[in-house]
Parts: sequence; structure tokens; C-alpha cells
Amino acid sequence: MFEVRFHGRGGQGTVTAAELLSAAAFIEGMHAQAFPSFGSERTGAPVMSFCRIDDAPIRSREPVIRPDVLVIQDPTLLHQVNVFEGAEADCRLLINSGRPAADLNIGEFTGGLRPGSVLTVPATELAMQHLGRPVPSAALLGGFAALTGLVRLESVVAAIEARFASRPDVAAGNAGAARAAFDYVTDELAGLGITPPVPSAHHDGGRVIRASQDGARVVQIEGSAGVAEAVARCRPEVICAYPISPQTHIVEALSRQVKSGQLTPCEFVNVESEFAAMSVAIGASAAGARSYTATASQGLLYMTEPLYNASGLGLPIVMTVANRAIGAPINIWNDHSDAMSQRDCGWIQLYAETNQEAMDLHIQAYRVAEEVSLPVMVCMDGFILTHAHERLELPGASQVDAFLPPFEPRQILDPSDPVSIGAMVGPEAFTEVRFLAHARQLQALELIPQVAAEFAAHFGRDSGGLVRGYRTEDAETIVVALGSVLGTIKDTIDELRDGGMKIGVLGITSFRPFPLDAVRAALSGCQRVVVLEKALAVGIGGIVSENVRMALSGVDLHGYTVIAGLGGRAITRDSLRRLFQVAAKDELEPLTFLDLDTVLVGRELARVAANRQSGPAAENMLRDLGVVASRIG
Amino acid sequence: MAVQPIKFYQTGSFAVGNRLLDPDQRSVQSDADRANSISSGHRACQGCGEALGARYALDAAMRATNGQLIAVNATGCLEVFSTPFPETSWRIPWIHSLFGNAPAVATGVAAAMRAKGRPDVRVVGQGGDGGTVDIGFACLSGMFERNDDVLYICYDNEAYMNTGVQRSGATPPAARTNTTPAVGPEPGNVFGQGKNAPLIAMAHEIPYVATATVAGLRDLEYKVRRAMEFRGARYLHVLVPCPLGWGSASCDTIKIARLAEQTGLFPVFEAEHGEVVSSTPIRKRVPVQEYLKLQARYAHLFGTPYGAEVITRLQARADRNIARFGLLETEAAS
Ligand SMILES: Cc1ncc(C[n+]2csc(CCOP(=O)(O)OP(=O)(O)O)c2C)c(N)n1
Ligand code: SF4
Ligand SMILES: [Mg+2]
Repeated sequence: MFEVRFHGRGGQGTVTAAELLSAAAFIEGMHAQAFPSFGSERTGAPVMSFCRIDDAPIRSREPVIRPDVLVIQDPTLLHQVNVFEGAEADCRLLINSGRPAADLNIGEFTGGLRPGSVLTVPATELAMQHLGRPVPSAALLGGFAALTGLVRLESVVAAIEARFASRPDVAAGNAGAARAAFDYVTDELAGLGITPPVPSAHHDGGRVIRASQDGARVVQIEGSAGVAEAVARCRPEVICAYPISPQTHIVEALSRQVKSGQLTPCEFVNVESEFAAMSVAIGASAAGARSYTATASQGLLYMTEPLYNASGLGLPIVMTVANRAIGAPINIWNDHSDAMSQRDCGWIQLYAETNQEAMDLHIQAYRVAEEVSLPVMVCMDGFILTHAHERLELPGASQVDAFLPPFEPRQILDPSDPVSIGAMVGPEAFTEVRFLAHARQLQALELIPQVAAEFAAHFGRDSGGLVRGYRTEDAETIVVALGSVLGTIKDTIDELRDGGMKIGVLGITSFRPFPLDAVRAALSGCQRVVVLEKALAVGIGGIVSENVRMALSGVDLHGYTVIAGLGGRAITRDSLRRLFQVAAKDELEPLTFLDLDTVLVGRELARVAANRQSGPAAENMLRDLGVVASRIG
Repeated sequence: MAVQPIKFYQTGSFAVGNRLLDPDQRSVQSDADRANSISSGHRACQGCGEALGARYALDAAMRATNGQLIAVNATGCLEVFSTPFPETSWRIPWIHSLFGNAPAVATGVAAAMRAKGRPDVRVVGQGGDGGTVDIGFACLSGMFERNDDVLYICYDNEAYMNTGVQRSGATPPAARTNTTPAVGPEPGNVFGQGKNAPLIAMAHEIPYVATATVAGLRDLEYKVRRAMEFRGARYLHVLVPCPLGWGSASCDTIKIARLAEQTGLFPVFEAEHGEVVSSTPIRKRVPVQEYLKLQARYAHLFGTPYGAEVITRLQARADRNIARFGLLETEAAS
């Protein structure tokens, strides 16, 4: 696996650079994953993006910690941000600068690298010449192609042309800058006596995106775009949404589809709040329209009341939750606090491990929802999935039509056959209504694996289901987790297995209904269970673990709860490896906070003990951390 | 040596912080002892109208209240760019709670001040257009209807900017946003939608409602000061161009705000207890094209017959405002 980290400033195309590199690798037939270290940064602030390239599908989703190549888009960052973090001896650097590397005053950081591994290219100058705008990313990618030989220049140019297809002048300018930088770096390497690397032979040379006439194709796109495509192929008739990061790209893409007439008949309603979004979906669904919305975090909480209402009424709405933390303190990054807070609102909850699965789950969700007449939340990790670019298979429209029949509501507001929906129910029948809601979730427990099996037969891919085990057969230690972290866990498990540890992981896809039997069957043979969860039930600890314990009642084994990844804290393979090693020795605390900064916590506790008016805790701790609080790993 | 002739209005009320005026007539911003409620170093984009408007408005409020001010902020650009903790731009007590509840939180602060017998401490609630006219509107209307002692300031950049430019109930027709893209037969936001928050505020018959833009910063300061002379609910709606969301040059923020006034697209007026009491006349009337062409969010209107038709409709909106608020002296007189 080849790993690249880009450092730049907001507005320089840092995120685009990683995406374009992944697109170029895709064109060459490789697997690639590009994602930003997303923040609330505006123009000019330091930003990072990452790209991984491999011949096999890429599972890990941690930030790039030990890069093979570092691309620095702005030399003013060299002394401001610790861009060199994780740069080991064979790391190579490509820096946007008109000056030679020796003049950049970075010897103290690059001393440990091999000679000739730091190169500069005047990317901004080249961009000005060819594009007329100071956006260095395309030029740097041209330089990257020359430096590494990992992707060919033609693939970089093809990725640029595809990206800017609607603006040929921008495409041509960027392509020109990329070519010029390629030549520049080739000359530089020659000057250093280094033979420029030649792209290796396995590259199949400009693979074209396979397309069929009904829209089935393999593409390299953002997870949000993939989900929007999947939702559109389900032919929703009403889409309503209120913007909130990191859900925005999904609904923006859908608004474009509706507005341009690609998705028709469909109404896109720009509502004034999430409360209204869910309320519009309720009305539309009750009137017989297939309805869709998406939200996250604060937005999910803001729709709490209509959420219960939608499930209580039994309306088969499908909603994407782009999982994000809940404030205060306000935080836009990923964890599962939002969806977990609504686990008992009566909705079915499915958690996606990959973007492909997120897409597939939406198609399955409509089947399940409409069959049992219950709403479904498809949970996908915010930013980690929603903003990651990777290879996705888009199903064809006719394929989806054959799998998902038109919506036939169980109840409908229809003037020709008037019914009342939403009457008051008193003590005489309320328990029974609730019992039936539970019974329908249990019915879904049967249906979800059936639909997944049918999906696999129809689309040729395994997605969904209740739970999915990985190397659990003879495992003594089994990790339990939900969502995108499963990929990173699997890579860690492979490493530990190589070292002889008997460890596996169980991914839970369906959290509601909770598959008690399947979980019990998968776990009862092992010696210990480590539940790794991205949410915290303050005052007790784990949420998923409580549910897992219920499945294991009467089974005697060690159970550990690990709270990890809160508010976007990266879950790295390094941390996981250490954690699982401690767990395997049964030396783990029953409740562990992965990578907790105990010094930071200690200082605040001391302040609280010392002063009555110790001030706002979150703000105090950030002050302790200092200005550049963001870490790479 | 060539002499630059001084135009009269450069020394008049339209110039900002003009040192040629008597000290007591100068703007709050030109005062070395201004509060600097929002200090520099925040993370707004270059040329951010919201940052500029908020700075003037809050410093004026600080002066009007002798520094006895608490600010409540809705989620949005202003909140995010001003508090990249551990740094904060705020030199005044400031709280951010949620996106949709700033007016209600402000009501709570005002109630606490009343309970504590601190009538001298005044409260400003503030948010973007989305936080104000959409998600926070129920709380805002409640605050108005109860006539709570809060000055609420809406910084209107005509879309949800913080989340990456999506349509709000204040997005004007034809404008491109990421949820009203410039595609399809009617590119951009549609006609016949959107709400006029100042007029709705007036319908509550609250003591004071006014509009302003960052092209008239003296006027903005005046309106904050005037608002602070009233007790009860007050509403100030400030047009703040956003270079990122509008696709305009960072250096054109004030020019564009001025063109919004001079075209009649954004009427600047004051109302007391539900009645308009004054409006700022247009000095030099400008066709709407001049305003639209500086902004990429309207780029799709140029060079097509459909676009020309839309521009005519936008001109009609401007003309209607001019007639409705008497923005041209001649028309006002007739
Ligand atoms: C309940 C809820 N829904 C959505 C959001 C996401 N959100 C944060 S700021 C924002 C847009 C702000 O727009 P506006 O009020 O116009 O302020 P601007 O950023 O344009 O200044 C949105 C949609 C949120 N924080 N809370
Ligand atoms: S996006 Fe617009 S409102 Fe937000 S900081 Fe930038 S210019 Fe200001
Ligand atoms: Mg706004």
C-alpha cells in the first residue's frame, strides 16, 4: 500500500489534489481512497488530505500517519504545522516552492531522510502560467507522477479532464500545469542522477469507466455522491432536507438531480429545520409517496419528536444519518452519539461499513421499510465515509427497479377512500400498539437477512444482513464494533493473527432490531469480548456493550467496553494493536477510553478542585492544548 | 501638485469614521477606545460582510450600553469563525447554544437580568439568515410576541454559508446555491418563495425594526444606537455580502452591498411599532444588472434569453421596493 499526505491551505485545492490522485490511480485500475481531514477551516487555514493506493481493496480508514510521500502545497506551512510528523527514512517530499530544497531551512526535519528525497517544484508559478490562478494542486500531481511513477502523467491529465469536464479552459490550464511540473521534476531527478521511475507494468493503461445504458457503472466518487445515486435509483418521490455537515453533499447532489430533471417525478423541498424535514417526510409518506431525507447530529436531535411520530405511525421513510458527535461542545466530526441517542425511537437502524455498503443499504432499506411498514435509518460515518472518494459500483436503474417494486403503502391518505391516521390511543390499546411495533421489528429481524441474500443474488455483492464475522471461528478474543472502523480493525486483526493471536471481529450491521441470537451464536465460543464503541452513555459507559451483554446473558466470559473515536478522534491501527494486546492478557479495565489524554483531564480536575469559578471546562482544556491542537493521528 | 477635490459626501454621513468630522459626530469604529467586541485574528474569509457588520453592530451596541452587553449567538459562520478555541475573538460575554434557539436563549438572559435587578445589562441575540428566518423563526416570533427586551440582529448573507452555501428562506430568486443549483429549465432559486423577515417582524408591532447594509456602516451604527433607546423586542436585519457564497471578489463586498441598496433590491428603512418611519433614499439609481454581474451566483443569467427575462423580473422586484418604500425622492414626493 502506498500512502500520501497532502498539506495545504484552505482554497489551494488540497482536498481536490487527493481526490484527483485517487481518480488517476482508479483510471490505472488500482484501488484508491482519498479523504480530507475535514475541519471548519475557511480560506487560508492549514488543511490536510490523504490518499491511499493499492492493488487490493483498502480497508483501513485511519489518517495517513506514516506517509510514503508528503506533498506540501504551501511552503509557509513548513515551519507552522508539524507537517513532518510520521515522515520516516524512506519518505519522500514534494514541496511547492520556487527555491531549491536546500534553501528552505528544513534540514532539522529532513536530515533523517535519504539524500535526494526532498524535491521542490514551482507549482504556483506553473499554475499561474498555465491556468492564470494560484492553485498549485494539479502541478503538484504532475510532479508526483514524475517522482513516484505510481501513476502515469496521462492518468493524472485524464483525472483532471474528467473533474473539470464542464469547464474545458480550467481543465486545459490544470493539465498544462501538470505536464510542465512533470517535465520539471523529471529534469530535477536527472540532475540528481536519479533515473525517473517508470510506471510498473501491471497498469492496464487508461482503463475506461465501464458503463451500461441504464446507469450501471464503476466509478471513483465520494461516498455522499454514491449514496445520492443509490437513493435516486430508488425513485423517491419526495425528498426534503435541511443542511447539516456532514450530510450536505448527499442532499446537494439530490437537489441537482431533481432540479435538472434527471430524477423525476420527484419534489425536492428545502425546509426550514429538521423538525420540518421529518414532518414533511411524514406527510408525504402518509400520502403514499416514497420519501427520503438525511441529517446528522444536532439535526437528528432536532427531529426527535417527529422521529417517534414517524415510527409510531408506521411510515416507511428512509433517512441517511451521516454520523456526527453531539454538542456541547459543538463538534462536527464523526462518532455515533447521534444515532445511538435515537436507538429506541422505533426506527430500524443499519450501520454501513463501507461506502459501497452505505449505497447498497439504502436500496435494501426501502425494501425492508416498505415490507414491514417501519422507517429505516441508514447510518454512515460522517466525513470518514461521506467525504471519502473510492471505487463504487453504481447499480443500473433497471436492476434496482427489478429489486425494489413500487411503493405500495399499507395506509394512505386518499380522498376516494378516507381513513384517519394518528388518532389518540388510551390505556385500552396503547400497550398493544407498542407490542405490535416491537413485533414488526422482530419481523424485520427475519426479513433483513433475506433481503440481503436476495440482494447478493441480484447484484453479486454481499452487503447488509444482521451481523458479519471476520476470522471469528477459532478466536479467543472477539472485538465487536459498528460502522467504518471495522475496516481498520480487520487490518489490525490480520497483523495480530500473523503474530499468533487468536482474534476476530464481529460487525453489527443491524443495531435495531438488535440480533440477540446472531450475536450470541457468534460470541459464545470465545473467551473475551471487547466492544469498541463510538458513543458514550455518560454515567454508565457503553451502549452497544449493554446490548451485547443482554445477548450473552448466562454466558461466562470477560467483557470489556472501549470508548473510541469520540468527536472525530482518529482510531489508529497502532492504538488498536496495543489495546487488543492488553485485552488478550485480560489486563484491560472494564471501561476504557482509547487514547484518553489523562494529563489534560488531570489539569482540569485540579483547576476545578482549586477554584469555585473554574470557568468553562472545554474552553479551559483547549487553552491547555494550545493553538495547533489538531493532531494527525 | 494635483489637488484631489473633496466630494461633499466624503465628509458627510455616508463616509466611514471620517476624521474630518467633529469628534462627537465620528463613527464608533473611528474611536480609539471602541470596544473591539470582535477582535482581529478570527477566521472569516477575506472580505466577509458578516464579520464587518457584526463588528460595527456590536461595538455600537457596546457604546450604547456603556459596555453592559451580553451576546447570544446562533450556530453559523459568525459563531464558527469567531471561536477557533483556544482563541476567541469575543471581548464581550458571549454564548453559543444551538442553531435554532438563539432568540429564546437571549430571552432567558434578559429574564435573568430582570430577575437580578440589572436593567442596565442589555442583550443582543444574533445569527445568520438561516438561523433567523428558518430554523430559529418560531423562537424569534415568540420573543417578538412577548416583547422580550432583546435586540436581535440578523446578518443576512442570503444562504446557509457555514455548511457550504445552501438555500435558506432568505435566498433571493434566481440565485444559485448548492441546493438550488443553476441547472434545469429554471436554474437557481425559484420565484415566489422566501420570506421578508423585517416585514414579518413589523407585523408583531414591536417597538423597533430596521434594515441596514455594510455599505452604510454609519447608518448601521446609528440603527443599533437607536434600537438601544427602546425597551422590548427589536429587530435589525443587515445585508452582509459573502464572497464565498455569492462568488464575488473579496474587495467588492461593500460595493455589492451599496449596489443592493442603489438598485432597490434591498430597501433600507426603519419602522417603529409596526409603521415605517424613514427610508434611506437611493442617491443614484442603478439597474439590477450592475449588481448581479459581480456575483457568480447569478452568472447563469447572462447571455441567454431566459436569463434576460429573469433579470427583467428581478428589476421589477427592485422597482416594487422603490415604490413601496419611497426610495427615490421624486417618487416619494409624487
Ligand atoms: C439543528 C441543526 N441543524 C443544522 C445545523 C447545521 N448548520 C450549522 S450552521 C448552518 C447554516 C448557517 O446559516 P446562516 O444561519 O444563514 O448563517 P451563515 O453561516 O450563513 O452566516 C447549518 C445548516 C445545526 N448546527 N443544527
Ligand atoms: S463563508 Fe461567507 S459568511 Fe462565512 S466567513 Fe466566509 S465570507 Fe463570511
Ligand atoms: Mg446565511
